[in-house]
Amino acid sequence: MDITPSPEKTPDSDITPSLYRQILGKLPTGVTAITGINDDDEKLGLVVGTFQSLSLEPPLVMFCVDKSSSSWPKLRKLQKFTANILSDDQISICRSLSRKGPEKFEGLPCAPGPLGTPHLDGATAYIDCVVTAEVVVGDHYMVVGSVTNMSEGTGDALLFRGGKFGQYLPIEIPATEPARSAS
Amino acid sequence: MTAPVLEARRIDSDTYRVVMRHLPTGVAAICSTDPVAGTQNGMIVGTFASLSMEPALVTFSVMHSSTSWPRIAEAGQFSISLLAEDQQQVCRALSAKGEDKLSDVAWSESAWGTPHIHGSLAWFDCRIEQQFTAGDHVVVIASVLDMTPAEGASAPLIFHGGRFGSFRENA
Repeated sequence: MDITPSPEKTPDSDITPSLYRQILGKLPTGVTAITGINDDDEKLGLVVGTFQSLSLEPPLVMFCVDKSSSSWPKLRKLQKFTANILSDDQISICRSLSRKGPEKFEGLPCAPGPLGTPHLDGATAYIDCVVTAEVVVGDHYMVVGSVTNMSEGTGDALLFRGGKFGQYLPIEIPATEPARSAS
Repeated sequence: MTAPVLEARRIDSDTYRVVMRHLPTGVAAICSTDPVAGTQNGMIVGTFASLSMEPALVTFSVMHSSTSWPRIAEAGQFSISLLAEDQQQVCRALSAKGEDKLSDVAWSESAWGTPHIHGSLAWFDCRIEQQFTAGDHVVVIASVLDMTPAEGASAPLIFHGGRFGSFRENA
């Protein structure tokens, strides 16, 4: 289903792709590898910065992927995936999976999860999902996954912002002020 | 609807929260001005994300039980202020229940009639295009009318592992 707003209804704006990139680049994101395996035992993967929690009851997650992705059409056919939240020592894995072309999974250490989909060694969390919905919105696909299993991994999360990798830097907060959930 | 072949193991709320705490998120304030009353409404989301460049769209999700979002949405146009590391107080003020949550927050009105919170990293003026329900949340898809970066470079506010923090760029 395509839910892109129709062009005549979309506001005329002078937001160029480069301005969009520049300003959305200020938004820090986690880095998540979406992985799957097909019937020929070929491992598939792509990296997104848009993986999000969505619903607790029932447990759902979502991410957005560029229409130009060559990996997503292959992953979509399988209708199940693992979201591997990458840790700060997995930059090389992020780079490998962000490449175009086949065999980008070559040599990456992983083990099959409960759905058979690859769990990358050293990720901070694994969320196994079946695809429950996918919509086309503008130049991206929005994918909703129903969570079947989830487990913690090791390490601390990798962050991406303004074209640079980084880490979470804790801020000292007085103990009397509990941090509220930013849901 | 048919059940998936692989029946989902029941995942309790605690497990979901514990695992999803590993995902760091930015923190964004969603605000609008009531067109009739002239008062400001606001809320905090940790799910603001880029969506599409052509056309320019962004997305976030809100709890379907949120009382703030319907009030913000009523205005039709709203703003997203991307919070900086020193804006934890803004986050707390807008996360609280109650009326007039922007009364203790410095902001000014944009050309679009939306509140822009002072000290933020960037401001987006948006119009709601689509909303759909997914589980206990509503996914909002908004077109971007305008986007403005703050002058100068500040660090972002990040929510991670149940705590506030910021971003340290790798050397």
